[in-house]
Amino acid sequence: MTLKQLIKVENLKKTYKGNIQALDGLSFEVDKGNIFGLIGPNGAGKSTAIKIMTTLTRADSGSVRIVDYDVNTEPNRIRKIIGCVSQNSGVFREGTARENLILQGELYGMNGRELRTRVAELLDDFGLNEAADRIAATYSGGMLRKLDVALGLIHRPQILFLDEPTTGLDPEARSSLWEIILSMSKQENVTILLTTHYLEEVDRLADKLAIVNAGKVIAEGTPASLKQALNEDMIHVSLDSTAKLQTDIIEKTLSSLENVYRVNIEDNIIKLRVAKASSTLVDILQVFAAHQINVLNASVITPTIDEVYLKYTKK
Amino acid sequence: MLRIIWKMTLRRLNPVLKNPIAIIISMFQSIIWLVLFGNLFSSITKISRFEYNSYIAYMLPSIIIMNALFIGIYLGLGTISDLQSGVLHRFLVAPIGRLSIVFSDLLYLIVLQLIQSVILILISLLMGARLPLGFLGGLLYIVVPIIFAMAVGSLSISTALITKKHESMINVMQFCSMPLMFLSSAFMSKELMPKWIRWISKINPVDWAISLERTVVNSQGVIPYTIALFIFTIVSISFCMYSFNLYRHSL
Repeated sequence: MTLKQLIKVENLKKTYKGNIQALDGLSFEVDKGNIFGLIGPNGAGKSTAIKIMTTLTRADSGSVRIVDYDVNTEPNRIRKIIGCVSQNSGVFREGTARENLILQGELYGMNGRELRTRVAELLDDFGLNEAADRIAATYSGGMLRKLDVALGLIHRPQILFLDEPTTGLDPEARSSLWEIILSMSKQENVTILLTTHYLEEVDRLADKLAIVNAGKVIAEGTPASLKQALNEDMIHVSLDSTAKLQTDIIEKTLSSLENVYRVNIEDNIIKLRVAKASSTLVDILQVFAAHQINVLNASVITPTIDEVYLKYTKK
Repeated sequence: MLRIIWKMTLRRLNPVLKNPIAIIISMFQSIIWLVLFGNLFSSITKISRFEYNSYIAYMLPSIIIMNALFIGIYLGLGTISDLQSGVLHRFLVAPIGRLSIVFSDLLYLIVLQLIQSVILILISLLMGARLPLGFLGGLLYIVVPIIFAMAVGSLSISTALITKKHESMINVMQFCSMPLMFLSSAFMSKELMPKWIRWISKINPVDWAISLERTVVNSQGVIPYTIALFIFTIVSISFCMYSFNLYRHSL
């Protein structure tokens, strides 16, 4: 029987000194081979959850099973098959990339030729060959992050935890890092759990995501299903600038349409929040035609994860 | 596991191996004290019965212990750096266990103290001191500080895990090191001490270590001091392992 859910988090609770409740019944599951995103405001409990899943600390109650091992009773078995890239780097700056990688491999029981080959392979894949024997204190932020990810992958883990992997990197470094992570994880069959504040990353990359707030999951699903559940698209219509608009009448007529939630008219651009954009667009265009207003163009804008996120996290 | 401990020790040793002057620099204070105090107070031996041939010979065991005290306390600063840089977390997520982390640091300390003890002994020999009991005495001057350093190092790592800040560690160093040294028979024999200092020295592990070394001239109390020192070391190391739990709990 092959396990489908590699990570099973159930009802995690954790309170810190001073009555700070970091986790208040957090539950979710991650399927094998997926990229799973955990997003939420600062203080929502994401980093605490990762610390618990990576056996760094313990929850007050609840359970976490990683590949069917319990984090409380069999932490060492879990440690052998997971890799973690935490928010602040794990690189020791007084050493070189090669030295960091070699020590890391040894911590996971690798040695000799197998280790040396693997280190050379990683240095190559991550584009760190040139800097490999310079001390890490001289590396740029992007290089340090790449080294962090290499350190997390050296022992070929089944699961890779990434806690805000691209925060603080410039756009080029970010896209380069993601390229490497994706190709390596596909190559080595790694399931990924990541937390990030860059919502377009989860939008683009995650197979599934969970929005966490105040220590609980408040929404969960694939990016597509979450966006669809919003039941809200935007339609932008731009009108011929010579058209003289009877703003109030147009606004009233459009608002009264079924499936139109909100209308915003600014000069010649009409922005509408609607449901079922494709059919509502037809109704809208008919309104303009009926009033003999010339429409230059119209576009349908599907929501982004940003909108999903804001909807669920706005208090 | 031994292999992993050795590799982690090498990580600490590498900077020193690449730059051996660092060994001298980290023991500079000990050397200065030995040489300057030794010469400044050389006439003290005329005041009372000192069983050593010179004040330097009297101070040597104390200075070696002082050295062990300092490098033991410094060990925690390395832990704090690792903690703040994320390296410690990486080690804690690896399947290696706290024992490997602690013992690799202690092994580093052992190597360092071994080298520094030898250097201090050589310096005092050069300054005319004679080792009571000869080679055996020298051996004691090497083994006892190593055990003492392991105890202090463990406590230092614990302090690092509990306070998590460089400043707190440095404060501990300031407050503890000199009082510990002076409330012992490091620089003055027990008979010449005020009573209250003599009493405090009885519960001062620094004094246990120094007194154990002084049994080369006066074999009174070898067994009690040895037992006290061993218990101190074992309790310190156990507390160090326990502080990892405290640290994890606070994460």
